Amino acid sequence: MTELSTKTETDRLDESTRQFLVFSLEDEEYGIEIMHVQEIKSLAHVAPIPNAPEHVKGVLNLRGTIIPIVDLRLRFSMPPREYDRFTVIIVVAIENKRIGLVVDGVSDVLEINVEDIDDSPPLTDELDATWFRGVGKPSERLVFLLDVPRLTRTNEVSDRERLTSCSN
Amino acid sequence: MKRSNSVSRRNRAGTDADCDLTSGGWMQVDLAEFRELFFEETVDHLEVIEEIASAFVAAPQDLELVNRIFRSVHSVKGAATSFGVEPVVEFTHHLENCLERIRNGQIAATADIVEMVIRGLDFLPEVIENAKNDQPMPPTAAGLIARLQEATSIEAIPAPRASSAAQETPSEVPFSADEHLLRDFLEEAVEHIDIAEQVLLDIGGGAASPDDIGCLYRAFHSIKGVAGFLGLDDIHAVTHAAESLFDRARAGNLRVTVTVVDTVLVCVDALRRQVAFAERWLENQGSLKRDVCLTNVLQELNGVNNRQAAEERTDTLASFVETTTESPVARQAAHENIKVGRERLDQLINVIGELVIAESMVQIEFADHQLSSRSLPELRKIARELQDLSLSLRMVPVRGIFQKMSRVARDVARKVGKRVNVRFEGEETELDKSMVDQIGDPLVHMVRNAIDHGFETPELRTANGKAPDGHLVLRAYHKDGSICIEIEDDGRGLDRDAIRQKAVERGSIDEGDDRTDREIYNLIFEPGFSTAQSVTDISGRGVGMDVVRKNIESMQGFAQITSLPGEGATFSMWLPLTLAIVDGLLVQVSDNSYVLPITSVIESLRPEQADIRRVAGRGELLVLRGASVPLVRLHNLFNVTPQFTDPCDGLLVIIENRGKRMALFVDQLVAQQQVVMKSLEANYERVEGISGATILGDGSVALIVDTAALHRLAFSH
Repeated sequence: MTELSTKTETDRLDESTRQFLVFSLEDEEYGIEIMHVQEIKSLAHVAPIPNAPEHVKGVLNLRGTIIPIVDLRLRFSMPPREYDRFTVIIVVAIENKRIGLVVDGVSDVLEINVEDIDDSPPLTDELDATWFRGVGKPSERLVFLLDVPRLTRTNEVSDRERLTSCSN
Repeated sequence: MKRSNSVSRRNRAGTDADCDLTSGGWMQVDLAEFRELFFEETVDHLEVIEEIASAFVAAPQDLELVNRIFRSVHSVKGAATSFGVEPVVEFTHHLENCLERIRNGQIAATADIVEMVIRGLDFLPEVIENAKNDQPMPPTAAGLIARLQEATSIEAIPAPRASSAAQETPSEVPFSADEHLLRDFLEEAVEHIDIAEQVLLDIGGGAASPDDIGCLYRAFHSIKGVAGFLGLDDIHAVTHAAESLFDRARAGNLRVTVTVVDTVLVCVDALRRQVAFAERWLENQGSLKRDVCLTNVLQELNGVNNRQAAEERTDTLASFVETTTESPVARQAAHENIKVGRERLDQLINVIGELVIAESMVQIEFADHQLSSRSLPELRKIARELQDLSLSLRMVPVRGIFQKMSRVARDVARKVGKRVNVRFEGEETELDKSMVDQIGDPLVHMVRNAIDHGFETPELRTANGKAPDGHLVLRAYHKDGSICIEIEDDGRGLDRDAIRQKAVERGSIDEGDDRTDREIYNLIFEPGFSTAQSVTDISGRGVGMDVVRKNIESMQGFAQITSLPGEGATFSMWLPLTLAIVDGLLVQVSDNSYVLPITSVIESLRPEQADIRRVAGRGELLVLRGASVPLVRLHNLFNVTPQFTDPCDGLLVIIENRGKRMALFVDQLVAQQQVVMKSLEANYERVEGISGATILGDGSVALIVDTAALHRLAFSH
């Protein structure tokens, strides 16, 4: 049994393409590897957590489990925006933890050729590059690929502080 | 199947069975050269021994340490045997014997014994050094051997002659038995053993009812049957002996006396060891380890059988009549259980939770469309019942763990020559299964402490006008939204002055420091703290209480001590309710719901303007029937925008926690209801002031307020 699963793991790594769920924030496109995505949920009322960081909007009920909801705009220190009918929650699962990410909207699932992935973190003035594991450049598009495990570490220093300390 | 030779060799420890190494080809080799090798090799062992020895002094009750010393000493002995270094063989043999008995629980690691072992270990390098120079053992070491011999012969257990022959060959249990079958059997065996142990403890020194005996008989019989089938000879042998013992008891040919109970308890322990060996065997696929004291256990069991057989053949008739009444089959059916993994159980609970929520959504939709249904109320009832049932599945009464503690208490009391009566209170109080597993260690520690330190000797107790038997109460109850587990003894109580003095010595507190009793008592939870004049094997080295505290704190609980000099002490363990159900008051601030545990709610009221005072620098106060209660605005603490900012528009909930009151200002009261505590930590992290969350009927989340933390939040700034 164990050998079998290791084998499929390697097989997957050997594949020449990866699948990403593409979502938008502001005017850019971002990608989350599909294996981390559990489901996409429409926005619901979240119960705010007392004295939580600004980007943690609160918790909601996902079929009996309480999961925290993180606003990715605020997480990335982008200006907040009113939620609208496109706003959705992407539920990601990493290492037994599940969190919901509020994004402006999801567009599609994109298959990106491994060769089209630039592993070096993207250079941008506005974003902390360490959130990303690379940039996907499939035909004419530019997709920032999220380092998902890092997102679950909700108690990290807020990015604003991080950014300020970086620019100093 | 791979069979490790070293394992089988270790199993024969205590007998002089290492001769296989000295035989054969070894003898032809130049011994002198090998002797050198021996002395080199032992240096490493000696280093290890020294290291473990110091740990052993600190924690003589730690069997793993005893094991490790034993193994090292045994290795030295093995090597000495093969290289023919006689004095070392002799010395280590006696040391090993002694360790072996400690390891098997045949002799208690009392201060005397520990000291002797340590001295022996200290002497070992010297003995080896002498041997190297071909000199005899130092006389002091020889003296020690005599003492070791004396100590190990205390119990006067006849040398396991018959068995040592059998053990020459490693166990020949074939690993052909179906693995699943074996695993199932081991699980079942543990259950039967648990049952048997409980019945034995219940019997204690009293009379055994026919029911008890029947139950014991069946427990051993069930194990025996499958063990025989699976070829687990050791287990089969022990259970067979026990079974026939109770068979005779059933037939009235044997009276179940204290001696019998004790012997069978030893047998229960041996069975547990066997099961543990078999489990390890399953995992590692090596050879099945054999229990060296098994022969003794068997002899004891058979001894009981035979002795009483001779004595009591006369009065069989009377008890025979009683025993024929019961139907064993019926009783067994009642005990039938199915094992389910915890994850699947959690899944079930979650899905049922969803069902209940979906059901209430349907209810709302029906109402919205002004439809009525006759089946809907029925569905609702079923869904609720299902939920209640599912929630109860994860909860187990503390009875089980209490029973284990009564066994610990009994064993410890026996070791230190004290007598104890254990009483349970609230043993039906239910606790989340995962927590039950975690409170075991702290409880064992506290029970040991109570008996070893708390209780006076029976003579002293009598002299002080107390009953000679110490009373130990294990108690569990709900309070303030927590579960409290207490161990109360009627011993001498904590020595406030001694603790204080010790704390001053250690520099934990200053000489003139003014502390309340409770603060003083809490000092014993500091690492390395002990006031015990004599360090015994059971407790008194100051290791432990800090571990107890750590364990409890890791469950987000806390420990507390109260004590009255001369009258006893109570150790309390306060634990949160994680998955427990909370009876709560549902309140609202803005459109957020919060649950206040009802156990800390005193009353709720809408105040008049005149009842509220604003005090400069001290915030707001509510004057309630003449007393002033600090007024705390929940919206401020939790940083939300409220519907009302004037307390007279909203509601004040008076909550009390550990004697402190506050008036909590919320927008409105919604309902009083039972909610299921869910963890925030599972996917997020711990939040100050919040003990968990729950899902309300409409699927939304309400946070459960940790009222004790509210006090800290409100008044620490």
